[in-house]
Order: sequence, then C-alpha cells, then structure tokens
Amino acid sequence: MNLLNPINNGFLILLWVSILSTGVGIAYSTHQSRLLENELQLLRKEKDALRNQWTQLLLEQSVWATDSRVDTLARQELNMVAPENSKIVVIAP
Amino acid sequence: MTTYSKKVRLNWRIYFILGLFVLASLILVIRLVDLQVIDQGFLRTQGDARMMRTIGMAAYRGMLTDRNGEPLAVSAPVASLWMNPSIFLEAETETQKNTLAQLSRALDIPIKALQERIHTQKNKEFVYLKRQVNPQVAQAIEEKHFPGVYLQNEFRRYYPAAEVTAQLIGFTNVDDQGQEGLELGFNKRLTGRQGAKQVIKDRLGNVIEEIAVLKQPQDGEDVILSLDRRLQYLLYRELKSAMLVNQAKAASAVLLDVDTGEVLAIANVPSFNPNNREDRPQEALRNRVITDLLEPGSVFKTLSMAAALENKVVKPGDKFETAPGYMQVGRNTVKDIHNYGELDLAGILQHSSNVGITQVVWNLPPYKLVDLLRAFGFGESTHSGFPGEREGVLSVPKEKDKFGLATLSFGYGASVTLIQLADAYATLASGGLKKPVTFLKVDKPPKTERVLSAKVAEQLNQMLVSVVDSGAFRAKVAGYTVAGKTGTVRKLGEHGYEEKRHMAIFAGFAPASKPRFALVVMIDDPQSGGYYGGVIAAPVFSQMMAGALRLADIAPDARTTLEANANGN
Repeated sequence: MNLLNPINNGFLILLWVSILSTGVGIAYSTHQSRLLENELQLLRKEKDALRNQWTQLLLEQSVWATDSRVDTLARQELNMVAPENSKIVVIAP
Repeated sequence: MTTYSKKVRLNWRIYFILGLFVLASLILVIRLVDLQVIDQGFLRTQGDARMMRTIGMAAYRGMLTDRNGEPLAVSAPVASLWMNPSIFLEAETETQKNTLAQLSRALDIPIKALQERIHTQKNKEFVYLKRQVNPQVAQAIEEKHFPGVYLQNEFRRYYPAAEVTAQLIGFTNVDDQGQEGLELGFNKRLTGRQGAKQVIKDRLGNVIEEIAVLKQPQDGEDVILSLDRRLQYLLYRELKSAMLVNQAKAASAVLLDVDTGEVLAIANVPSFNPNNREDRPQEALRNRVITDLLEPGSVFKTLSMAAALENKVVKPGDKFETAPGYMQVGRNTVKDIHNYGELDLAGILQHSSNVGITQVVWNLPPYKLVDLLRAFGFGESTHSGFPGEREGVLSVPKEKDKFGLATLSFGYGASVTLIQLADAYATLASGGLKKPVTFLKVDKPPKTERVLSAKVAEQLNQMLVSVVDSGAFRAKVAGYTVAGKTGTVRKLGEHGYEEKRHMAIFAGFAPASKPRFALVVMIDDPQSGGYYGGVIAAPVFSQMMAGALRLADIAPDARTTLEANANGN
C-alpha cells in the first residue's frame, strides 16, 4: 500500500476522524451513563422513601381503624346501637 | 574500520540505555520498599480509604392480609446500630473527645453498661449497640458521625390487629423470621431474598460509588389469608367477655366457611400483644383451636348418629328406651342426667342421652363408627399448614369392648382438636361434602369429597335444628334457623376425670336451610356456677353467629321468629 497515494491518504484521514469521533463518543456516553446512574440512585432512594411512607401510613390507618376503637367510638361517642329484632323489617325479593 | 567504530558507539549506547533501565528499576524497587516496609501505614490507609465492598440490599418481608386486604402483619423499616469497637476505641483515645457519653445519651443506654459492653467485646469487629431504634434516633446518630458506629437497615414487624389475631398470626423474631403461627407456616413465601451490590466506600464507610448490582433484592410475597378481620374481632370480643362472665380459665372459637372450607376466624383468650416482645405469657401463646387436644364429649353424638344412619342400622323414627336413666355395661355404668324414658333419634340428640346413643351405636360394628369418624377428618391433620397442628387420637374399640364403643359414641376415649370438630360440622352443614381446611383465600370452588349421603346429612340437619329449638335454645339467633349440638366435657386431671372441672362446648351451623357458617365455641373450666355447654357455650355461639350473619349480610331464613318477636314486643 502506497501511503503517498492520495486515495490512501484520504482513507487514513477517515480512520483518524473515526477514531477521534468514537473516542469522544465513548467519553460522552460514559458521562451520560454516570448521569443516568446517578438519577437511578436518586429514584431508588425516592422509591424507598415512598414505600416507607406508605408503610407508615398503612399502619397508621389500620391503627385508627382498629375494630375495638371503631366499636367504642360507635357505641359511646355516636350513641349507635344495633337495632332490636322487632325493628328489623326484612324486604323479601 | 568504520564498522568497528560503529560497533563501539553502538555498544556505548546500549550500555547507556541499559543503565537507564537499571536506574529506573532501582528507583522503583526503592519506592516499593519505602511503601511496603518503611511507610507501611500510608498504603494501608489509602487502601482502606478506597474500598470495594459488597453490601446487602434489604428485601421486604411480605405482608399478611385478611381476605379483604386489611393488613394483619406488616414490615416497617427501622434501623439497627452496630459498632466496630476497635475503631471506636482508637478514635476515642486519639481525639480525647468524650464520644462515649454522647453515644450513651443518644442511645439512652447507661454509660456504664455501654462501656462494659464495648470493652468486653473490644476484639470483635461487629457488636450490636441497639436493634430496631426508631427512625428519628437513627438519623440523629447518623448525623453525628460517631467513629466506628454504623447503621444497618432492618425491618420490624407490626401487627395492627394485635391481641385479636395474636396466636393465629404468630410473630417473627428480631431477625424477621417467623417463629409462631402463620408467620412460621408461611415463612418461606413471606421471606424476601436479600440482594447484593458492589460499591466503593470512603473512609467513613459512606458509599461513594456503586459499581454493580450483583443480585437484585427480591421482596417476599404478600399472602392473602382466608381470615376476615371483622369476624376475627367479633369472636375475640365475645370470647373475652364470656371468659370474664364465666370466670373461665380460657376460651376458644373457630368459624369456618361452609362452602369453601376457609377458616374465617379463630380466636383464643387469654391473649397477648404480639407487638410487644416482652409480653409473651407462655399460657397465651398457643393457638388452642389447633394445637390442643380434648375429648369432644357430647358433640360427637351427632357423628355417631351419622354413622348409624349412614349404615342404615337405624331409621329416624326408631325409638329407644332410656329409662331408668342409666345402664349397666359389664362393670361400668352409662348414665344420663335425668330419666328421659322412650326417645326417638332426634330426642336422643335433644336430651344428649348417653344411654340412647349407646343403644344406637351398638347396632354397628365398631370399625364402622371409626371409619366414618376418620372420613370426617378425626385422627389426622387437617393439612391446614398451621405449625404445631395436632392429629388427635382415634382407635377402633375391640369387638368385645361394648363399653369402649359406648364411650366413643358420646365422645370419650378419643382426642380431637376444635378445628377438626368445626371441619366435621362444616361437612355436615354442606350436606356431607368435606372440603379441605385452609388459611388461604379460596378463589375457585375447592375439591370436595363426599363422606356422608345427602339424605343422612339432611336428616341430621333437621335433628340438630330440633336440638336448638328445644334444649339448646340459648344458641338461637333471631331470624335464622340454627343447627347445633351442646357438649360438656369433664376434664382429665391427674387422678382421672375431675369432678368440678369442665369444658363447655357448642358446635353448630347457620342458617340451617342454607348453611354458610360452621362455628365451634369452647369455654374452658368455667367457675361461676354452671358448666353445661347449653348454658355456658350456647349463648356465646348465638352472639357470634348473629354477628357473623349480620356482617355477611345473609338474609334471615326464619322470618317467622322475627315477626313473632316483633309481635311479642
């Protein structure tokens, strides 16, 4: 291969350019992947935090809705009673 | 000549280059010695400072929920604090700061106790300081950056229904592994798989870069149980008041779905709060419904009757003479409470006549009775998957042992669990179709097995309704037809059957015209006077059944009783 041949020279330049561009490309994509990795971390943290909060809320809700508490509130605060049998009207279909 | 001088010059250049190489490698060797031998510490600290570590990624333990998705056991994140004592002690002597006092304050552990703990374990690299601290404390400690003190994320189990489901759900240990109850039974499904990731940590142990996730953490599975939290509470509330009123030692109840074989609720008193690790009274831990054996007593008579009817040795209209209220069998006596005279089959169940049922089963070869009891599930586990479930004992009386057959027919000489009893009554209720007992919510119709002909089941259904209509009227529920049988069992003590210690039992189902629920109630050792199943257990049964039917929105099938009540008032 004659390197002084202008055609081959053009080929060499082409190679140089592609090496350079892939190099820059690698640097760029690495940077991008770091950024995305970082974002993933943040999102994971957020997911964990949200899940923790959900658990806390679930527990809080179920504590407020404890049957014994509802029972006491219904009977004492709201003066609710189960209807007597004589006051139940059954509507048959 | 030119070639010679050229050679000399060449040699000189080679030696120069070689010399340079030697010098360079010498410098490298000197640096190596310097780093490895003379200034060892530098590399070590640098190495420690840039550490690649594999750390665990926590996985959640699955939730246990009731059939409607109400949580019964939930894992919430908490932090545990651990320490590397050597790092801590080194840092303390170096900085001369009184970190120990600060730490003791932050952790609320007396300084002396803390000091002792650290010093006795100072050669270890991992010592728990406090497990499962609340998030605020953990954050406060993290912010202070105590040397050698680290946080580890863990989970703590919470039980929103607390004592209502205590023995049933069970609990986990501090390492989040099931120890008792369904937590243990479903431990495998509930347990998540910890993940692992590779990270680079800095000197303080903070993660500065994540290299790779080696294994994704896998959360445990959520398990939807067959239980209903509201029914669970209903049973618990009624049992608790019954135990108080009757000054009983304990009480248990189990409610099954007749159509699916699902366990809807199981309650036991006394109970405990599973959220409090210190509150674990040994007496309250057992799920008596499943792990305790008892002699079933009179509630067994229904099944003896079933065996006799199924084998066509008696007909419902047949009459048996029970006068004078007792019967000599060899050296033993079978006794009734009163002299009931002549009784038909329904009458025998209504009055719970031992003499009557004895005559009925004597028409049967002993193995026929035992075969039917086995088919109903006695003497073997229900395969519900509940840990510690007992199978009970059931053996065939010898051909000549007339008394043995008699006692078995009224429920002595065999031991059963309450869940087996409930299962048997559910089978009767569903017209003789036995379904597997399960703690998991059932979506599709279960596999059923016919153990009793529909005709006999219907005859027994009517007899059991007549039992509630007459003697066991306390089990009635206004608006509904109820079928059931009472039982009063004398407890076995050290010297045989005890005179004054009983178990009052009521087993039954409702509505009798189209059964939905099978319920068994047991009150252990009532001390307030009465002890008969029909007096002590039947009213509790009635309360529970009334509540369950109302909660399940089941239309009354005996409107006449409602109307009669209405007119009466």
